[in-house]
Amino acid sequence: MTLAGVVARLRDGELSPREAVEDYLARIEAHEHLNAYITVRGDEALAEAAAPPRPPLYGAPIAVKDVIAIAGTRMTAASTILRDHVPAADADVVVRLRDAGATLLGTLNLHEFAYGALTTSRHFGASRNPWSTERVCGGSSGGSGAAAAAGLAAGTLGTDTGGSIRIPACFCGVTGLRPSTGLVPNGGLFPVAATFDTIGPIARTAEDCALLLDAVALTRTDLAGGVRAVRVGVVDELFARAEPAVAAAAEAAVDELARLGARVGRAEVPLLADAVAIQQLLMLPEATSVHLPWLRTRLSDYGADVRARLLAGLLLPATAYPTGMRLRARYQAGLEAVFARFDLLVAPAMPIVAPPIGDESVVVRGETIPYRLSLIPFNSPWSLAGVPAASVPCGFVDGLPVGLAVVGRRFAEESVLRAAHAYQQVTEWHERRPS
Amino acid sequence: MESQQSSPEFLRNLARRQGVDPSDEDLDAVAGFLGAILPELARLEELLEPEDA
Repeated sequence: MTLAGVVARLRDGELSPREAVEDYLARIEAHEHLNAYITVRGDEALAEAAAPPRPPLYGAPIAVKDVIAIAGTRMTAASTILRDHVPAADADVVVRLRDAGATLLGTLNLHEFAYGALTTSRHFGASRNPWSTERVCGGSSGGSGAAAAAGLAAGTLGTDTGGSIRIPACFCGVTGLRPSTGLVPNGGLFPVAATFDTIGPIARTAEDCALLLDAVALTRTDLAGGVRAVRVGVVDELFARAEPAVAAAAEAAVDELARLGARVGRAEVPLLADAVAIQQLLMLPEATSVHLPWLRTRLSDYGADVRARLLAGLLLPATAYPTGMRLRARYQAGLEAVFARFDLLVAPAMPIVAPPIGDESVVVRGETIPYRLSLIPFNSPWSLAGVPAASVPCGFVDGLPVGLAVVGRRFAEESVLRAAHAYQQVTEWHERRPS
Repeated sequence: MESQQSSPEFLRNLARRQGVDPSDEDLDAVAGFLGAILPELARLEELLEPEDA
């Protein structure tokens, strides 16, 4: 059931918060093999559900990625280093979720320290894709994607630095929104790279994402209005880099937006291909600065992939960061000019479907490339600019979900979600569920 | 310049000066990473003029 559906039942008294928590706890237990959760707050959630339900969420059970602090609940970041860390205070978004009447169901699996796109932590094990349990969920918010897809929470929060909401949302066939950087407070979030990190929703639908966004960003998203006369720019360069069947599904989604009245044109984003490298120049040192004390004392406690990235950030030339800063400003200016011509940009959310767990490379248009390098060209352009970007289910390839990226101007989350909602009113991809 | 900056010996010394002691395996992985990103950095630096600061 969607979050909106759960909220409606709670509001109308058809379901009590305690019953809702009990239902989700039973589903979590039945789907333990997905390894979506790191900590289930069973007793705590049942106790919290005894309070009178409050609007707007009326006790709906929500789970958060295990880098978002819940007071008194361990927060591991899927790492050995923080395995026994118990925050003393709630993260800002958890305070806001509680204020909005949510019940906190637990914390969700992720790539170690949210610094990778697989969610196959050696410390806490791989989250498995509900559509094919031998495949990855993506990441880093892989547990959030799996939980949303398998109905193990009414809604979830993930975090996104360079794609960590959009990748698992796409691979798991659910809707995810990376909000504009700075819209949602990051207090109580264990960071990856502070100038990129943003907390956002992963749930079944755009409507669900709006409910969660409004709770944590204190916004009031109006989904009415559709996309008539909205100027939609198609980022051809990314369609050309996706697997043909994936690109075809995204093209069909664009056709649907056109049928709904959107004015579709072709968009060229200056420095698009350079966004990947520019983000790396900034993200690598930022992440390393967070971890430096542990690099000195606990280096072997990191997984090999995360260790390599953190060391790369340590060993980049000092000019890398200011070069990245200067080019980010240029890139953002170029993208702003594109948004003078378009209200939204669209592209395939990812170039491929979820690969098998353990595969380190993928084939895209006949070329074998490292998994991570296949994904970041589809994510960095929007992360680097700090603009809102959603992944919206738009089809299936080989039985696995694919998504459409819908991108807006900074702080135009409402436009992004409105378009996604309009699309979901006339399609059923988001309604399909894994068996 | 780039090959020097990603040689294991150079990287080990640089890491140790910052209090970090990576293994040979770590340095191999990092060298691969830097081998990809340093040419990109050099290319991107050429896009900038001093007056762009």
